[in-house]
Amino acid sequence: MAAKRTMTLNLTDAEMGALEELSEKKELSKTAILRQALRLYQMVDARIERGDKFFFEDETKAKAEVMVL
Amino acid sequence: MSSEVVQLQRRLDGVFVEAALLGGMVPNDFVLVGNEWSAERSVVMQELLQSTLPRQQWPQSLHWDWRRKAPELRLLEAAGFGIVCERQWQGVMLTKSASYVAKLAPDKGKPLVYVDFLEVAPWNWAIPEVGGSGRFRSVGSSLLWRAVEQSEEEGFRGRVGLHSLPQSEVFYERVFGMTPLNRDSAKQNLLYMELSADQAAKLLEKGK
Amino acid sequence: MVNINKSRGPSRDWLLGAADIEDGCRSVSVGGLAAELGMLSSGTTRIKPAFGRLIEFARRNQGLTVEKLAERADVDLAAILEIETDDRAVPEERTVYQLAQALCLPQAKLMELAGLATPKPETSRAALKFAARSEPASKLTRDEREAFEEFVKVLDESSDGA
Repeated sequence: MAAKRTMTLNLTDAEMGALEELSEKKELSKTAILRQALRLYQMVDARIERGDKFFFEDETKAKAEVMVL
Repeated sequence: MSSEVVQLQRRLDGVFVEAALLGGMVPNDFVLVGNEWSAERSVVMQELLQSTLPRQQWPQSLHWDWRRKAPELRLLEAAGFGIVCERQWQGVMLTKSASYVAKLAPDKGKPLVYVDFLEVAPWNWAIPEVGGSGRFRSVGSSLLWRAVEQSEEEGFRGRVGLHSLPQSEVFYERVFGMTPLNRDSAKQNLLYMELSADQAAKLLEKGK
Repeated sequence: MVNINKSRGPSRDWLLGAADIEDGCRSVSVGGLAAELGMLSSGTTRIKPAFGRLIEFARRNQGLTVEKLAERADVDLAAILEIETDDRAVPEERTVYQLAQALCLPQAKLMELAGLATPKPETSRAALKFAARSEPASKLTRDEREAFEEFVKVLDESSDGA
């Protein structure tokens, strides 16, 4: 495993709540949830930069583009 | 880069030899793999062209180029694993940890390790019709096993997903106990298969 | 930094069973069907392959990984990989310029080879010869080194020192 560096996060109650909820739902530690979030964010950003578009599709097959910076 | 010792069986004499399973491959490694395997690929292609073996039975990774996959390793979610033996890359695998989630109940929506690409070196392919019996066996199995281990390390409890090439569907089901889910029109109609946490636990127990 | 871990892979018995079935599939692989992933370029005699090959050889001749070259030339890693592996790639002018500086290759000639300027006859001839002689491999063989040096010599000689 590569060397790790420590960071302290200040989260609001709502943010911490969301983190805990996701952690329980996905059966992952809070740190792992944040790692996944970072990976996902980077991956989406890279694809958008490449020119791909990011869509959600609902049951009616209607597509709505997700705007991610 | 991480390194662990694995065993590969040499087909010539059935002897198990030690190999290194490396993790944390970097883009240049994929370039080296692509270059290292290209000459043998051409040789196999020539032999197949001159044989009577129908196209559907040709190794389905014949035209791949690992150099093209190199940029993908720059993403956090990507992980490259390879097995080195006798100073050559015997097999390589690219996994993604944030691109897919489990579709199989009861773990639907939970993260898993997705095997994006996996290939064994052309000189290990077993194509008896053109006299290619392959130097080392079970390279693919060893790599896929590592994907299950990676899933455990990530906290994903061994869950793994992949789109199987037609020739290999039987292998994933019988050897790993993966569940076939659906043919994916977004992925050339390949069969999407998943290893659940329970199946992973059974697998790791069986293989001890 | 390499951490050597004890072996924790599957047992030999399991591997033997797996190997039998793996053999039955000819070889196990995961990824898309061949057609979508780009064919190997099979020794054409166009001039374009010479550009990618030249960049690759010049890089390897200096003992550089693709990452190191990207850093040194201040160009995108993906651009270098595309140049080295895709004959159809058309690089940006800035990329070619930067690579010329970083690899000490004549810039104007490199533009010709990249398809950004009309190639002079002597460039085309030398490029075709080089492309025919060189094949991708991990180390430059003596043959490759000779081919590479000969090619660069022609480019240098026919350059205006650009």
